[in-house]
Amino acid sequence: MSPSHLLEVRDLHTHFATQDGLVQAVNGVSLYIDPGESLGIVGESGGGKSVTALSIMGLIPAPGRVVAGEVEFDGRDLLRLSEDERRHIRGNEIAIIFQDPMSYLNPVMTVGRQISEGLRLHKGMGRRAAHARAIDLMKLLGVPDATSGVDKYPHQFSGGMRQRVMIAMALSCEPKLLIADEPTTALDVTVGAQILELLQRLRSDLGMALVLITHDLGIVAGTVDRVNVMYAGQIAETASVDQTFADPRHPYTLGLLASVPRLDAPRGARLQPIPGVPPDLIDPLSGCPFFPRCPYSVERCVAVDPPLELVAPTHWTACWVDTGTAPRHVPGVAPVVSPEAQAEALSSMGDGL
Amino acid sequence: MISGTSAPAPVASPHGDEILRVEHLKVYFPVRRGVLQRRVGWVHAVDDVSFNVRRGETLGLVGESGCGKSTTARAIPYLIRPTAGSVHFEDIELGHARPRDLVRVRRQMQIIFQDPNASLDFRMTVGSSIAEGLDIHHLGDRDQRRHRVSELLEVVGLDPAMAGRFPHEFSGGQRQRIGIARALALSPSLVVCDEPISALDVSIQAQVINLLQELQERFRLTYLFISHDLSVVRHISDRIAVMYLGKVVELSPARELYDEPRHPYTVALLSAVRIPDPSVESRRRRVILTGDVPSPADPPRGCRFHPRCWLRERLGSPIRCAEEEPALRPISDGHTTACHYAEQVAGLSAELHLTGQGSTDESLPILPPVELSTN
Repeated sequence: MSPSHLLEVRDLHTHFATQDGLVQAVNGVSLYIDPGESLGIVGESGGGKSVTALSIMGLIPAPGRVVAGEVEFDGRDLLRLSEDERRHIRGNEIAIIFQDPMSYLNPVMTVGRQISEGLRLHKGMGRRAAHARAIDLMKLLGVPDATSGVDKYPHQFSGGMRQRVMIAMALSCEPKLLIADEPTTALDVTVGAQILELLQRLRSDLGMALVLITHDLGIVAGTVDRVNVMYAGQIAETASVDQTFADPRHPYTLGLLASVPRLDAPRGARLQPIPGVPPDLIDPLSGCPFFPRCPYSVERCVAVDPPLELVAPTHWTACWVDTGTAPRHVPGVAPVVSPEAQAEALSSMGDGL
Repeated sequence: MISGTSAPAPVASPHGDEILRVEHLKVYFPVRRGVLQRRVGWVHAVDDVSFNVRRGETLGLVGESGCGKSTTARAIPYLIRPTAGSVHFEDIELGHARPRDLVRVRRQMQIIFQDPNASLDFRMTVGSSIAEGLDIHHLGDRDQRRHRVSELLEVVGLDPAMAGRFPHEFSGGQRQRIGIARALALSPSLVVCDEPISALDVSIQAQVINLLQELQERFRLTYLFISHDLSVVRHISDRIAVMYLGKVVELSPARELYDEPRHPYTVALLSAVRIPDPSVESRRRRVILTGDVPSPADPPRGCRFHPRCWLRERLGSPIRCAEEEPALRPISDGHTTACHYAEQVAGLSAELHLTGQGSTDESLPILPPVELSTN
């Protein structure tokens, strides 16, 4: 750990006590982000991306709870602060935007009031000054007719414009860190491209750090400096964006990259899906959570969960196997895996190969 | 009777003969307002769309939300009655078909929907869901139906013993497999896939895409594949139609559409797709459109894309785009586009590294100036 990190999360565990059992949504996540840096968190649903973000924000809804870990932001451990102190940081120093602006914006409040709310609360601005600032922010974000738009309600805007309004709210207090949780997933392709372009421009203009959470590897490739790949509530691999795509080491990262069709790939090649289904977080297997779907798994994977280890400068991966040299096999049924583990793996595979 | 191992459709040459022809299809929805629900306008969801689908091919239909692709999917089997235009399936014109013929056509034409949660009845076992079409069309007796369900579950990669389970016992990917089994139950020749993988996780999407491709080869299926994801459509389609605001703006063989797009909207769509490779991404130049898709209730005059068109801006905003609606016209063999200035788009794909290929000259300006043609 170096003192330059803006945010450092250490061994975070967030669990949800549901009727069906304890869901271990985040299970020992450590990550950091430096001032002005952009970090991508990728993975599938259930990987723990959003829960990590909400844990950082202190917004975990009941029955969820951060049960262990530290979230150090600018020298303070957020998890040790009182709710009042956290509220002062949330929306002020760390802001978050979500996938669906409509469930985030208040439908019976003008967007201007919603944007100025944070300014009045955190910056002590007067009503008029905050209103004027809201108009400036909407202009900055390219909302047409900001002067009249500021008095409109969310339903009077299109999806892309609502997303801009939400970003305006998030940026109103000039946060040091913006967390964007699937900011373009609900948007059309061309509008999503506008929003990504905008986020990148704002990040460099305002010098804020950005955590971009997405399931889309393409978005990560063109937008961030560093990538964390998450699987089953853990970090599977973390590296610079170039290393992630040029030299992926974790079998899950390799699997994700091989399973998406690329615009520049030769046509006609079959995709290589990751077999099986994402894991059950209520009753996790011992060992590496990916082994039932992993074409490289060895006996050790079944017994012991691999820790993140440095494999190259700025490149960590949580895997026992060197995927560059190890042989591939049908997941879970390799002869090196014990018969009991095979049976367990096969029964939990569900979807066909 | 149920056909044995479900080889459907009469055997025919893989290409050339058409299975479906859509001509001047229009679907308008009334906009009603007030206590009396008076009609105050029309949403032009699909506005004069024509294309054909050849037997054995996959025609991709791409576009953003509101472009009319899903409405087209539903109007083809007359699940929504078109406002105007015609749909020919094989030799039958659906608008004037006798009820008996319409039933026969619908057996041949099945839809796979985006959301398997919404398209499966949660109170029915998956076995009865899959067999529902057989019941409706009075095919086979109980044993034959049960046998057929087992066979179909196996075909889509599920355990036949699961027929007695309910949808909530399955994962999203498995439910979509059930949706596919259901669509295949009647041995259709044409399957309309309406965003079949959009609701699925990334790693599961590839499983379903591969399954669809395997089934196509095995049962010689014809697909109309609807998606907003250009990478997926490119992967699976032989030909692609790009829709914008109720119109087809470009139709071309898949390879040509990506290597040589000729409509400025297609260029913008392609450039908005991100390629999972930072070294490629850093080379690509992006065309960012301004504004949102206009409302189909009040589409712009002239070319519907003109208020957002980057090409029109570069050409000095010619008045023609705002006044005269461009018709689909042939650019090369099998490639049609609806742009007055399509010739100006030629070569841009390579220059912008749209598909990550082309020259690696880093000194190119973001958008090279385009000269107006003299004619």
